[in-house]
Amino acid sequence: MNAEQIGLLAGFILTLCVFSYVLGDNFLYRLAVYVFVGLAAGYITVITTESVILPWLRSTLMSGDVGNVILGIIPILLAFLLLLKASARFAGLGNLALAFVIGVGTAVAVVGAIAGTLLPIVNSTSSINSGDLLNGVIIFIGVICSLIYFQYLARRLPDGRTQHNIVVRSLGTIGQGFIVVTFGALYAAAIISSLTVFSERISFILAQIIGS
Amino acid sequence: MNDKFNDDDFSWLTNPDDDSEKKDDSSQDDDQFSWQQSGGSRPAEQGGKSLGFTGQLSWMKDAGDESGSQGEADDEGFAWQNDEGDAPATPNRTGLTGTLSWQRASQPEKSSEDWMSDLSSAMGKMSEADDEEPSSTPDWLQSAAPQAPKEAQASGDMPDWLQGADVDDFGSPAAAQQDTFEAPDDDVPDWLKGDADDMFSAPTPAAASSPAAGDIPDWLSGMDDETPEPQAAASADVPSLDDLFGDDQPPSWEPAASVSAADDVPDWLSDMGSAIEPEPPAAASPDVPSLDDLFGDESAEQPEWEPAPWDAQPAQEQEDFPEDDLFPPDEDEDFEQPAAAPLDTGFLAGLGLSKSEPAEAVPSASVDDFLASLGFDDDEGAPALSSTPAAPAPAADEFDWFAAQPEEAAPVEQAAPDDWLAGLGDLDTLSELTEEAELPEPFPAAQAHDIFADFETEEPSEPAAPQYQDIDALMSSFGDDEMDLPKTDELKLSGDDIDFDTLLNQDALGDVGRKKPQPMAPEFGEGASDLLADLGVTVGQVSASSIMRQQQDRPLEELSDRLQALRERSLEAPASAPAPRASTSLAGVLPGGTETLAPTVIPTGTPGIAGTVILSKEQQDRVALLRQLTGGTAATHGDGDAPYTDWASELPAETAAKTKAKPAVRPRRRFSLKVDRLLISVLLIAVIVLPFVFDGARIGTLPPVQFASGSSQLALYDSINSLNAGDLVLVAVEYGPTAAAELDSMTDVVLRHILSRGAHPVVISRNPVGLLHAGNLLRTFGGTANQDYYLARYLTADIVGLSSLAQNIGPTLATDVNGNATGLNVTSLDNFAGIVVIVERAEDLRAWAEQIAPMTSAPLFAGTNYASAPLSQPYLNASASAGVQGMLVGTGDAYTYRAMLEGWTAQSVIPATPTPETSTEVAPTPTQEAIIDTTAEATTETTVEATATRRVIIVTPTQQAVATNTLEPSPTREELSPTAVTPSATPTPRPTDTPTVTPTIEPVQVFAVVSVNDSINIRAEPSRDAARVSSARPGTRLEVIGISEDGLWLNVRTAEGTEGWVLGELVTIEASPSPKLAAPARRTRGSDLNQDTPEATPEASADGEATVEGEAAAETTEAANITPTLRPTRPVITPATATPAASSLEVSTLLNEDASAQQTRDQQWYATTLGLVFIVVVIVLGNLANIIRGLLRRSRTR
Repeated sequence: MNAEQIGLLAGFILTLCVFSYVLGDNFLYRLAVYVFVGLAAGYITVITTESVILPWLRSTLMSGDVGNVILGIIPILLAFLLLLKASARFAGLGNLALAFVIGVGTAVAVVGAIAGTLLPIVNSTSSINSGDLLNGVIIFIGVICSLIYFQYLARRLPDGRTQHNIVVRSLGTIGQGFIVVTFGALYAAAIISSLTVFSERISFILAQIIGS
Repeated sequence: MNDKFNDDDFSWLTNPDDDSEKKDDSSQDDDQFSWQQSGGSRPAEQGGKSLGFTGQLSWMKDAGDESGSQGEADDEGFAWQNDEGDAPATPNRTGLTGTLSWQRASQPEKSSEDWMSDLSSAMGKMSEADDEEPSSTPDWLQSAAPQAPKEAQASGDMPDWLQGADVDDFGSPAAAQQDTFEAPDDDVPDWLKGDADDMFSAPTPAAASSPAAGDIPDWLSGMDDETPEPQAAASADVPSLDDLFGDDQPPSWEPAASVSAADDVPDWLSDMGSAIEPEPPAAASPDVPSLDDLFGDESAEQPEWEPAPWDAQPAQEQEDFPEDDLFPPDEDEDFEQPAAAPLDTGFLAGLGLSKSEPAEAVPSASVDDFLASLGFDDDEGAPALSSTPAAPAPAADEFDWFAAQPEEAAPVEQAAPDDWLAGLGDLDTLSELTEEAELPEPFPAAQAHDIFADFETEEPSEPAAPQYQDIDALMSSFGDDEMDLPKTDELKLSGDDIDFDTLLNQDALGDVGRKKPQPMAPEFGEGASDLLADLGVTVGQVSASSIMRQQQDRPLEELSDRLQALRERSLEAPASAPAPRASTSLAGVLPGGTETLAPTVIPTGTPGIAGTVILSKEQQDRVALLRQLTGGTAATHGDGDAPYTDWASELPAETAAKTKAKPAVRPRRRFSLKVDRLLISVLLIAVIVLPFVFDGARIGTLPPVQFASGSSQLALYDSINSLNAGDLVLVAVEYGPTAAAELDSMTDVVLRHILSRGAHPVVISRNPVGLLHAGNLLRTFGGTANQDYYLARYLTADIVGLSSLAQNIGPTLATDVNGNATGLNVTSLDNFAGIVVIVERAEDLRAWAEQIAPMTSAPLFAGTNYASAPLSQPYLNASASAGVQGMLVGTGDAYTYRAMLEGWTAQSVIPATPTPETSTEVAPTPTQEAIIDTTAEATTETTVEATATRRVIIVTPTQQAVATNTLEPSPTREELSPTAVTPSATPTPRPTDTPTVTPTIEPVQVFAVVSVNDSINIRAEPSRDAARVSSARPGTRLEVIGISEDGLWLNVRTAEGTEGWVLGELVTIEASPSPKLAAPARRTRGSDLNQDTPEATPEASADGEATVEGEAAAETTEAANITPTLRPTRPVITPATATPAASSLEVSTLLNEDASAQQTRDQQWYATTLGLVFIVVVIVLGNLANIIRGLLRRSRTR
């Protein structure tokens, strides 16, 4: 039995262990999950060390260049401050690194969201006349109505209830329809994905059992 | 005991020169204060633990408080201290002893200021908090501010120990006080003189407007009568002088050295004056009638003065009263009272407060010295007590005031509880005045300790009930028996957070209340009323809360209006959670839980003004249903006061005890098999397995073999298909093992396609496991890492890492996943011919679309699974430069992609129906000419279809013409990329075409071999709905005689000669005698694409596809002339260490796939389809079942 066969057999057994969850949470299922998590963690650790940390050290601290060394010291210093979060006394020092990380991450996310999500969607929504007119109209109506559905300004009736304007209600209902379709599509897509994976695993098991 | 009293510090009050008179004085005092036994006892009882003389004060206070005609004197009690001077002197004299004792308690020691201030502040707090409940103020505190001008509170409410503190403080300065009688007037402080002047100067200025000093007021004269007039009623409130002083008693406290005391002035009154003023005005005393005249014997009618509630003193309390302890029987016998002391301090001595000898206790001989010893200065002392000046009212006023008492006393006394509470309410004023009064000095804790120490007595040995005849006897009975008082250093008497509760609840006082006897002697308690007893409370529990609690047990009608109103208010307050009934209740299990975890009350019903949650009828029905389901009642409450379900209290006691006793043990998980879930799972597995083992279960159709024109999938395909050799394509594999089964096939075909184009994929990922998958796939291709492909390092820091990649990509790609140098010289994202992102989650695609796409001109393509496709679609925008320009979704698109890729490779030569038409317009290219020359004499039409469709080439040796057909009309180059067409390009015959095509194209017979494991149907028409004419077993060879228009069906002829149609995907094509046509054709196609580019335009990608239709040679020419240029401006970046020419990958290896793998993919597709149908059925049936169940439930409820 070569390594490939051993791997296939291990995969077969682990697949059965995972499928045992159909009987409920049990030892076999947990064993498979733990094995996978442990392997993944170990692999990630190795990968990170080999492909991220060591190359970075070689390119900065061990490069011999003063600029690179300084450039490498700063992240190490911030990382050290971040480690101080484990100490109750010096946890405040770690806020500097944390603020740096969060601030940069937020700025990057905001800029990217505007340039990569907001503007393209606005462009798609506004480009009714370009390209497919029907598709543009549908997108436009869907976006507008969905936004209207999520607005909560309403007029309060004498009996205490709140009620939207008839126009708003109508458009909101249309938007609700779009949202329902969206969630339905998400649900159906999730089912299809699951079935795809499941059938692939079944195929794998059958191949191991009866051969291809 | 007697020695103690005699030797007490207060003995200075007695005449040290006349010891022989002490005995007589003692007896005199007995007579003098005998009235207290009858009339003055009530305040003592009221206080519960007060001394007798203070009880007298309280009596006066009560009388004064409730006398509306007394004006301010009512509230202030001892109005003689008032500035207004409207307070008569008589009450002062009546309450002289108490007043003096208080003065002496406070005056000699200025140190009580802070202590008093603290108490005042505390009282201020109490007054603010308990305005409605004056009774909450402890009694003793009412007497804690003796310097205050409004001392209306009954000193009898003051605890014994505290009273003792007041009086006992006389100790050291006693002699000084005594010496002040002889001090010159100049030595007397102004304030003190003011008092004396006010008090005894009735004949002088104030007396001018008042009745003659020698005249007895009407009310006083009336008091002599037996007639129960109002005055007489007032006298009833006042103890008779006989009882008070004794008829035959000389004015024992008439000071021997008294200055100008009038003859008519009662002894005690003149004594008071002498005590305050060494030289009182001579006219003051004569105007004051004698107490006998004043009160006569009417005090015998004292019972009328006492209201009925006082008689309702529970017998038990009287029995419990340790009277023997408090009043030893033979105390008064040994009591030594000075007979002719300048200041009659016998009564004080009788209080057991005189301990020190005068000579020892009086260090100074003057008032100033004495005051100085107390911290008073002549200049400062007066203003210090300026708030308690003596009232300059004439004696007549005093009498008038006093005369008014009886009129109001009786009705007031009937409402004793309320009055008592009202009296407590005066503490607010008292506290204010105490604060205003600049009291001399803080009360030293050490001295207070001494004071308390004086009361540390022993337990009495004889419990016999004593018979006290006077106050002296009573006071003398105060021994050290039960006075287990705390020391002041044990008490917290100051502080910002002090209040009465904390003060009284101190540990040091903890035993005081228990050990302290009820100071209700039988003389006092019997037939008398006790306010506290009437309230049903005990002294030790004097607080607003305790009183209110105990008030609950009293009949409602017995409560005063005020208490009833208070009770109503308390009932209106939100009811607290019910007290835990047992240890098994929630409060026992979780202390405080019932208070903090009380369920929210959801009031329903009529809408309220504010804050009411309105539940509709439907909602209420749901709530009711919820109640039924949960079995609880705490969901809502229609009226808001329904009891909550105390589930914990319902537990058996044993269970709760076990629960509490046992340590927290993790409950053992019970294995419960859900049959329905198991059944559905088993059925699903069966459905999934079925297509693998049974062909009949393969329902549905396989994915299309080519992408639709203009689709995003085709855009991706074409983009990759247009890659040049050596191009770099950044492939992000952003998925883990959970999506590997779905996305691995997509990654596989994309990588194959890229590699087949001679380009180099640079795989990168933020998911290390995804990187691992891609690495495994690439290794199966047999290429060389960092040469044919690049497996870049794991990308960290999420979107920040992506942003960093966009900004500075070089260092990221400098090393591979193993830390080895890649050798890539990439400086920008623009160096990539394209970017393909295969993601498991839409968030990953969004990150790439946001961080990478805007930063590069390289087209971004995406591949997603089904689950993330809906949310990934918004980023698909082929028209925009920043959006995703092509997308593959799920295994379906991967299947099609592979089909296109394999169709590109697995070209079949299928004999077609003979076409009589012969094309002579075929472009005279060398290759085609060669073909024509070698294959047939007749015109041979060769279809060289380079579109993304499965191409079928049919060559029939027996026919001169070769019919060409395609499965679907393939889009032309113009359709794919109309802008990229270069019409000027000249088709150049490629040398490679000739050797590959010419020798192989020969007349052959094409056979279709059944490739599936089961028999296939041969139908009459190319449709599934057509009738089955025959069948063919697996491996059967069928002669192909034609093909359907859509290219999916083959017209075959069996060995028996039966003709029919079979589905093309169920068979494989075999050509005989030249079956090797396909492979050269693949190579030719690849060569064509690769070599078209440099010949057409240097920038164009090798994407030229020629379609040589038999009917249109010109079309072939045109197609051959097409040179699409997808990205003409993009430079081709050649890796530093690898060149396309140096690729070690065999294209045939990349583009050939095992037939079994294709079959497996088909089976998986069928299995997925069938499983989807099953799930839909399950979902529909489940919903139907729920609907039916709901309808049935509704019908039952109706």
